[in-house]
Amino acid sequence: MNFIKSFFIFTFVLFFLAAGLIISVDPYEKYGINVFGFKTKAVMFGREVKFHMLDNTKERYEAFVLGSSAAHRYRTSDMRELSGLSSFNYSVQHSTPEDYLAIFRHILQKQKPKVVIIQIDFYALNKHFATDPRLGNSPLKEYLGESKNNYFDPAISNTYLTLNALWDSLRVIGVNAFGEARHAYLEHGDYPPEKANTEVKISQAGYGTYEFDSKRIEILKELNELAQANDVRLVAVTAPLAFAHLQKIDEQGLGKTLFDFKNILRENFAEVYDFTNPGIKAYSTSDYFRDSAHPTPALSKLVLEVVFGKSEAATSDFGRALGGSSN
Amino acid sequence: MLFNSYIFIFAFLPAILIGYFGLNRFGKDKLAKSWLLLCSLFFYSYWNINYLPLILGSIIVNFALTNRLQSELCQNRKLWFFLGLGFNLGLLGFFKYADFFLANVNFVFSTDIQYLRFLLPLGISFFTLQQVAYLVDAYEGVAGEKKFIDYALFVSFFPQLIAGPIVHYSEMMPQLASKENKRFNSSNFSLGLYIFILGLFKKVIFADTFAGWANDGFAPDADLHFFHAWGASLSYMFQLYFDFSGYSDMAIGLGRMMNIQLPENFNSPYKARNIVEFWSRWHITLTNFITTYVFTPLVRSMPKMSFGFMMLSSFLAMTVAGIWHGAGWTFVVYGMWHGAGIVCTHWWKRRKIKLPYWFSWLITFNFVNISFIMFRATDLSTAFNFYKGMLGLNGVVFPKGILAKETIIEVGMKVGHYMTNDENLNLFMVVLGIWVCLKAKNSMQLMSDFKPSQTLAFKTAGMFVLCVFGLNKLSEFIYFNF
Repeated sequence: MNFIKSFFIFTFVLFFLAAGLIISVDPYEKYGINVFGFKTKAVMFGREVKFHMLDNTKERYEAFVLGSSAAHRYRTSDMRELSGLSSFNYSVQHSTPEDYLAIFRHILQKQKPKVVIIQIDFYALNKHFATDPRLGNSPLKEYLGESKNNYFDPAISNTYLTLNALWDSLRVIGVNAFGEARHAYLEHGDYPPEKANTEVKISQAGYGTYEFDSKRIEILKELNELAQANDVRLVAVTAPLAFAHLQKIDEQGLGKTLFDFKNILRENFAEVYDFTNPGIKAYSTSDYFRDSAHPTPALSKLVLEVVFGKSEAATSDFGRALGGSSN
Repeated sequence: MLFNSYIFIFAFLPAILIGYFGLNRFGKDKLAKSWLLLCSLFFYSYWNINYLPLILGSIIVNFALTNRLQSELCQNRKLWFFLGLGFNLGLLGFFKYADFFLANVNFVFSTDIQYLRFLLPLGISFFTLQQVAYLVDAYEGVAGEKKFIDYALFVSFFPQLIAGPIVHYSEMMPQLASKENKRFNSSNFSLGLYIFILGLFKKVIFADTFAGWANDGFAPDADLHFFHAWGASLSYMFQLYFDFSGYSDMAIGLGRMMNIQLPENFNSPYKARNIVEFWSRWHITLTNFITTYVFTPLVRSMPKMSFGFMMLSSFLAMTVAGIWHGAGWTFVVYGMWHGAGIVCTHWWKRRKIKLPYWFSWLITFNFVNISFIMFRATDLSTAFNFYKGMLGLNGVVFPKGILAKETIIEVGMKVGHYMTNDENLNLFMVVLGIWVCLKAKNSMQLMSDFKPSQTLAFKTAGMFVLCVFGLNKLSEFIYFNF
């Protein structure tokens, strides 16, 4: 019986020690605690970190960019330069329309945006591409309305009661004590500078079974209605894909699906620009792509130039306007 | 319901234990058994209640058939036996193999017959196998159960219902009937708790970590150059072992908490130095089943008892074992691959060929590793593409992390990179996996060495807390698919 008693006592103590460590380190800046005075916190946890960045900022942002990791490298300085608007990059990894909706609602609650650019990945409307569970574990889930429980483990599910949080807390301690500290996201949601790469590897080009998700398409409609109701210029852009990536899509017999994908965007948004056509061929080098699905800041800037009507370098196909819906 | 879930650990398990021992304490042993049965069926239905009638129907029909077999009035026992066998194999065939059969018919005859597309009922391969064994034993007069609740509990006992260990009637029923076993036993509970947490640790910390690299390697768009292919295949090899042996440990631990000793299922299989030894260490209860109920009848049915016929029986028995795992040509090839391995081992032994210790281990280890690619791949072409990668035919790209000569500390300290995406960490984990599998004590050894102490309670609590933090990820066991 002693073993059992000891086990329960130790479990209780160790659990609270571990939980206490995580909360005091606060790796995702969830509570704004900094017991140890660490310079660096944060991991790639945009839904958590960027949420709190926007929640706690005193800055008035007027332009936002939404999207997945493919939209991480839109620089807010470029946005400000091209649009004259103070900007925030609210892109989060593996995002799907559920994320856009939650984020858009969060933005509308906290700020008065004039322009919102949503960069939509080809995978994002695929029924078989699951919603990122991190959405269900983040404060953004509260902005999903009644559907929030679809993304939320009905049992205990808390961002900080996870192995990742424990591991990241230890890493945060390690980075601050022994390593080179750097933020995963900078001010305004910007992505930190990276070393130049030398080749464009094919990445994330396997789409498996692709079926359009009607619920996600409904969300696109809802986004458009929200924008109209709040007098926001909502611009949809297809996430740029390197030419070799587009060829991979064709090889998988998904050429027609990509065409339909663009039509769906055209039907649901007033303003749509396409960066998934042969016009991308001229930019499919390592200057413009980190890998086949992740544009560099240089290409991201070209996209912004198209969106804000300042494009000089773009070819006729690159960033072709898809003539959106009039609703 | 998953063993590695909050609801199981913090709600279901305490409820079942309190109910079972509480009712037994007040002498309500029939109610206690009914409670255990009800909870087991709830455990099964939690996944998909639509298949509850299936398992209940299977239990009722098998119980009725075996009772008929044992009845003195039974005129044609053979007929009833084959009726029972046909029912069980038919059920398994219908739910598990029908679409595979139709796909082959469509391919061979260029037809377009629609697939049935049934969702594979959870645990059907295991509860069918267990009942087939019981049916054979009943036919041979070595098993018989007159009480329906006892029989239903034997089949549906929740720790081993979904993925084994496959339990023999004679192992399980006397334990459930024993009066002593109905009382809470703190020694058994301590040991059970320890083994359960050990299994949980294997699953949550090891298997789910390896799963990241394995899934990455088997993804449709995987860039399978030489090192990536080997990293992914070894990761899958360790994922499978830690996942399945972890599940078995949890099942054994749960049984022990209720004073039921379930049979051991793994005994350091990656230490094996030939394939015969491997199967005596890997999924031991399946090996026993295949030996008793497939291999032995096959040998008996051969025209004569010769080495050649014995080997043919081994090969066929392993092919059956392969097909039992899943409906697909990859599983057929997997079974045949191991069948061929067993035949080779016997042939070498007959020829008295002896290899150095380390070399025989290396061959066996890689033989198993290569076979698991067939086991994991969705089709033959995926498996062959994987083999191409392992042979370096898709190119050799040295992992950039290793080229950068980053130390493990540096790798571990990188902010913004999840643990599962790092090649260096993959290498570290593979080395750790090899060390654990070859040098560390296995669960059975740890069980026999178990001496309750404060230190062990502390270590167990530490493992448990880590696992609790890892439970937010819903991660099924690999063998739930079989």
